[in-house]
Amino acid sequence: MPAALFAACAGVLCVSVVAIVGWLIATGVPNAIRVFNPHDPAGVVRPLLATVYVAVLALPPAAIVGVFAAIAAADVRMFGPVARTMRNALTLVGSVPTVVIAFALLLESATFGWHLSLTGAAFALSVINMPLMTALALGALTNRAANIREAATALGASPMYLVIRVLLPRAYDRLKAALILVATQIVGAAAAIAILTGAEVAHSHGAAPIGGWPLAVHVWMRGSSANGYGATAAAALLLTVMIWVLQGLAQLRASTEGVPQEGR
Amino acid sequence: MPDRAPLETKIEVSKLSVWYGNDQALRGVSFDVASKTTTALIGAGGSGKTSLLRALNRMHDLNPDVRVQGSIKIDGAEILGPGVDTARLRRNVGMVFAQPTMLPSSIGDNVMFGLAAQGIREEHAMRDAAEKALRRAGLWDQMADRLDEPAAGLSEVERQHVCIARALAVDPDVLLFDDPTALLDPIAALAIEDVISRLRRDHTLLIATNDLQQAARLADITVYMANGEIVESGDTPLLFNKPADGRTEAFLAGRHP
Repeated sequence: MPAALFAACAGVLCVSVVAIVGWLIATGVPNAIRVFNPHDPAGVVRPLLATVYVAVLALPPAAIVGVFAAIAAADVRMFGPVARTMRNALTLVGSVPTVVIAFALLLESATFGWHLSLTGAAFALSVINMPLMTALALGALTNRAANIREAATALGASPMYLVIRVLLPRAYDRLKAALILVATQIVGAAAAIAILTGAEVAHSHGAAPIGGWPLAVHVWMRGSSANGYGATAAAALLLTVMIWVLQGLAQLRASTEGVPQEGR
Repeated sequence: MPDRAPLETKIEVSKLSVWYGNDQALRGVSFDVASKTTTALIGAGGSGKTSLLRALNRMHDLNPDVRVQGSIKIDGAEILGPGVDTARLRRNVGMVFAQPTMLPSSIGDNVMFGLAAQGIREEHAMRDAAEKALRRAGLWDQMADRLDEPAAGLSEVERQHVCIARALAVDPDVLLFDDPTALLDPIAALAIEDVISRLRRDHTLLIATNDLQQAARLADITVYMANGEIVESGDTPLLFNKPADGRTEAFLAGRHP
């Protein structure tokens, strides 16, 4: 009986997703040519460029800070109780809703007179995704690493040597997968960018240097307008495919790790 | 334990207690280990054998929930205090675990890991040290042409040999063996015992083991532990044949003490 219940739940999930994507395909594909016209206001060329712009700006700081924070949190011997506090702090920060962080940054922008911009939104997305990157990197570094850490330490390896020469190279594929997963979060983000580019205030392209919002915001904005559902469905389909490709790459990277070199 | 001249004493453990959170694993243990002797720690699971071994090279530092109290002196120098160079300590007090974990690299890199971690970069010196260590671990003939192969491909017994070789490569004075044959079949276990036996004259060895026959074969001194305390210690033949404490006698006879 429980097995049938689980299977039924899985079935409901699959049918729901297939129905949504099916609707997107049916509505969006006929508009596919139109949305790739750079002069069409419903087009996705500028949103695509804006998406790449945001991802390129947001990803490196998130990756660097995330990996470094994970290294610190991975080994309590390096920073003692600080590392434990850091883990708890990261968990806490990671649990704050992204829209709240965006709103707080918006208030700061207003206080300090900063201009709303896509670049600022990219910075916000970077900060928002740092805890996720840290958690994923921490998982990559410490995955089945207890015995290795013990063996290397018993041979006189310092904590830093252990991390740099043993744990990091070993976690390389998992870290790449983590990076791709964070990229999917950045590409799929809408709320934070919408707030921090002023998209909810001014329905114009003024806040973005590329003359458009990233794809996720584009879908959001176009979706709230009364017409043009077909073109928006095509954009949503494109966004979904992009996310799936990134997810697929992440899974591929994680699976290429295969049998760990230290073996059984 | 028989009296020994002070100069022969390698390790002095005094009032050593270890806590895992609120659980006390060692309760004020005191004992000395003479230089270049082999000491076996025997006792039921949870008696404190591994906790004692791990205190001797400060492996407990890896677990922030562990608290260690008391004194351990090696060659007269306190090792539990602050400011001790633990990396150097662990090179001097090597450890071989029950689970022969290979580092994710080649066989040669595994053997040379401790040297590389010391900052030694000269490949010739490292290869020489690796060869010497592998010979002492009885593995050179099998491994001479396989040093660049991944260590993951080795069998369990070969791995344990490599673990011994890489511990030897940094030339430790003291070697700790935490049930080194626990995961091996009897023939493989005897091969490892043979290697340990050959190391006895050059190193101070401590072996925590659940195999009483192994303790009887290898150890000069045997320490019987129960509930985090040393119940009895003494020359191995004497302890096995004429235990002074009824609990030791019961344990050796396979009865619940």
